[in-house]
Amino acid sequence: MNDQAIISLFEQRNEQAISESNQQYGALCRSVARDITGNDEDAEECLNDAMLAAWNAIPPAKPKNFCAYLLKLVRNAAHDRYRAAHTMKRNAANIAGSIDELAEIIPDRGDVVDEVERREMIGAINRYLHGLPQNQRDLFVRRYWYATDIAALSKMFHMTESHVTMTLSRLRKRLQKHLRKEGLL
Amino acid sequence: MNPTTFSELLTDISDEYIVSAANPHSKPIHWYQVSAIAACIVLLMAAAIYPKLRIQTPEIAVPPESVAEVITSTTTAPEIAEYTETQTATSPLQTTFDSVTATVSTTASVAGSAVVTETGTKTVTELPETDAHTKTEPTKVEQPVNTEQPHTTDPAITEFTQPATTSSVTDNPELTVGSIPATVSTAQLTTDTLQTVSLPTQTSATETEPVDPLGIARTLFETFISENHLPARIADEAQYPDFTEKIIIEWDPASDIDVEHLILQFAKENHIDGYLFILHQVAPGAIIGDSDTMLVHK
Repeated sequence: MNDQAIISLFEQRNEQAISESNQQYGALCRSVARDITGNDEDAEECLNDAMLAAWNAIPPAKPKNFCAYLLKLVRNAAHDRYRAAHTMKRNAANIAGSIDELAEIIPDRGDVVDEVERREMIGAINRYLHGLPQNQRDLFVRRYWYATDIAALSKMFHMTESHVTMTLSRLRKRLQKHLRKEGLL
Repeated sequence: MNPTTFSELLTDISDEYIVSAANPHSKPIHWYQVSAIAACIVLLMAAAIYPKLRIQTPEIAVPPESVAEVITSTTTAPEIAEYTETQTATSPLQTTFDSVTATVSTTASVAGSAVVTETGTKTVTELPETDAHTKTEPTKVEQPVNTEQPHTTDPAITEFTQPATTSSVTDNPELTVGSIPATVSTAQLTTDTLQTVSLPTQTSATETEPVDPLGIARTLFETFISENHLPARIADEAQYPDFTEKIIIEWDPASDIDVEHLILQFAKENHIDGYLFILHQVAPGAIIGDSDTMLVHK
């Protein structure tokens, strides 16, 4: 079943939309949630939270890319759980490493971000990603959006771990240079 | 903004990038393919180069070597001594004739190795085969000998030069063994009609074409006689079967031009005197040679 059919089920308030979404993107969503939260239980709860959020949002929302929409919902739920776990000093899995890496280029100036700054930052990141080769862009997104660990990335991209680490380091420095050029850092 | 907030911000990047990264298409490197491609390149290069390598032949470096160098290197002291002995033995033969003509003495003065025989009404002068000894002997003849002047020959003909009895020969005794001029100017001769003729003076070990020195010598003589309008001609070899590998030249001694001397001089200068055999008339108007079919020169 394609995305439009699933969205139609959501619009019809058919509960089959949940099962079809789970069958279509459940594994991918679980892996994203697991990489962020660090355990399967939290990942499963994140997936359930994302499905509930989609059921409540559609309609009136009509996402153009249902896969990305669902993944974003899962990631937000996972980040909420990560934030709660981090507050309770629980060790999160892969997301901690990726955030530490981002700390090299993003100075800590508090966690309050207004909507204007948020939109400008997202636009700058999209422009940065647009300027990258697809392979490097996929690697960057896989590491800092999906929170995939280095070993999995080396297998996924057929690269050595040192090569992955070196490439990610260069991508971060390039992102920092790009954000400074845009006046966001 | 802190790194965690930044990470949360990343959630809202473009859907295209998220979906693309969900299934990254990175082709693994198949090393066996690289090996196969490298092997193909090596085979192609070998196929292109190997035929050329088979065609190429190693170059044999032959140092340029002049005739003079060759002769000098092949002339050894024992050979010179042997040659001197031969000359000493042949010299008395010349003195046994009561009337040695001026031509004979001239020949001896030029070649220094003449063997003179006299048969009846004509004199045959033969020069020996050219070898290293004759090439090393001096070839400086400043002036042609005046054949009209009677003189005697010295019985002790030395190896390289005619003694002082041939007064027209240069008085300079400094003679250098082994110095053979490749091209000799004949401007010093009294006859103005002589021309300079050059012989090929280099021999190469890599020459594949057969060389006919006798043919070359014959061509040179023919050219010399015709261009200088000498009263001489190259005889038919078939009429002189006894003289193989020789160029037989008939000439008229009654002419005002000293034909024999000029021919000898020319042969000497061009190192083809070893192929020379000269016949000449004793009396003007006589038939040249033994055959009745020979032409009669004036």
